[in-house]
Amino acid sequence: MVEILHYGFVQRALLAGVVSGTLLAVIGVYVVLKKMSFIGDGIAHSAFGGVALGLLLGANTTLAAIVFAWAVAMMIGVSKKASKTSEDALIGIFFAFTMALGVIFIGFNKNYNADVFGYLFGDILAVSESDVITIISISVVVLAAIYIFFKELLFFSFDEEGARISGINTDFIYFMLLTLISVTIVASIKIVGIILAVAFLIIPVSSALLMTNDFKKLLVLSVIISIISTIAGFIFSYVFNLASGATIVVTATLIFGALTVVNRIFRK
Amino acid sequence: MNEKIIIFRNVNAGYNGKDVIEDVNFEIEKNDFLGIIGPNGGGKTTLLRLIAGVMKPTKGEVLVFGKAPWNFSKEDRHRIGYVRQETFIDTSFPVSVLETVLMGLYASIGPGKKIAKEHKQKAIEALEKTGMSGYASTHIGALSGGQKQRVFIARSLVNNPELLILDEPTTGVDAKNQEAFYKLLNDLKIGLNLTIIMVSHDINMIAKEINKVSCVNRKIHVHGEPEGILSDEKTCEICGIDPKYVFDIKRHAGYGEHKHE
Repeated sequence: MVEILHYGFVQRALLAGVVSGTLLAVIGVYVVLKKMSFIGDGIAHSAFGGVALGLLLGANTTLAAIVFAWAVAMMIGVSKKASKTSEDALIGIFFAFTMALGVIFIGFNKNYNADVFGYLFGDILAVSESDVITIISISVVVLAAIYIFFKELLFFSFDEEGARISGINTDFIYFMLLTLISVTIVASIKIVGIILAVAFLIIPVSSALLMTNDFKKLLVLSVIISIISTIAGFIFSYVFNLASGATIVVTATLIFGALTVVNRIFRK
Repeated sequence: MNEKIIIFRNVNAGYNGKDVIEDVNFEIEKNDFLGIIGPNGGGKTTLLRLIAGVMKPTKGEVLVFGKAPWNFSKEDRHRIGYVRQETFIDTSFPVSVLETVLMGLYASIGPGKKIAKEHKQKAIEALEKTGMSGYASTHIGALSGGQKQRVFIARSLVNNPELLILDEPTTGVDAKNQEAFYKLLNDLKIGLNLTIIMVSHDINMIAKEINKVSCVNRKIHVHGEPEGILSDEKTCEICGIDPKYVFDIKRHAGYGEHKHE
């Protein structure tokens, strides 16, 4: 088992997994506490439209996915403030529209491209050096933004109207958070895939919420659980020859289940 | 006559193109303790949101400390403390009492800057004013409704405001603690030289604390001393107060002879 760590593709897979797991956990804290899970799902699925367009045009798929995901996130944000249509309906509309566009773009693509499955469900073993650099670069930017606006994000997540009344520019914070969610999800697509990305935003945080009432501890525990799930899930997928992204998500879910049971036992 | 700190002139305001209040004219003086009453949907919360600068009128002029509140600078904003119903906030959120109060300082601290000892000291002092300093490290969700409201009041006091706005602050607070709560507000008003505006359905309770009352039901139907207003059955009906409680209100507030023997 240990000998596989000598392989470059395994080292890249683990590094990318740990970094993107950390990023997803940190952003996931805000997504879960601010009850934005459906927005996260909508943004993740909209990235598919970007990936498909990138494959059709022979362009950088990561960049195309970021642009698509970000544009949809901004439209969701603007529509939420300006439209009479309910937020969840809007998300559903954008979600379906961009997925459908993605299917149409795939249909236009004369060249068969097996990458599509990898983007949808993740392919951690196919992570390249440039993918690792991309994930690390995105992580630095996202974590720097979280650090700089830590207090503002906390207040916004806890009491948005109270934050606005106190003088915090909550519109800026909201749209910044949507941007961070978009780039985080795109950074993680290669690892867990579009379909499962939102699961990785939610599950480690939900597990950590069973263990603490303290915000900073929640961040740390979410990251730890995310990293454990990623590494354990990767090992299981390698040993049992299973789809990596799905195995990581199943592992995270089993950890959540176990912690739920333990939490119930200790609460009694 | 005290300084006029809030002026409404011919104000209309509402949501989604529909006005909830119209032709509102009134003034609030420094050190007033104003109770705003009225039926549900009558525009009470809209008035508070206009004063806090959270929304703009569709017509007319709103001045708070001489300026339109939606154009306030950060320093101006700190002159107002706004306390909403604690039931509107998800208190299962993983924050402590101290962290909740510290949030009141985040806008003045600014992005990228850490919370310093002096900020924590200010937060502790604000909690002491509301009798909650012993709960600083307690999770906000572990408190009772009344305790949570005291924490949110402490958060609104941390910038030493001049005006305190409260929107139905005793929702979720049991009756036993409501009287103590109103006494706390009066003590804060005197001790901190505050002007207080409060929306409340508990007219029976607040009658003895307030020095002015406004009845809002799309328009301001009455605005003035509570004794004359609350002893008039017709006014009470417009304001959504059951006239059969007029006797209790007058007796509780000590307003002259009661109507029903």
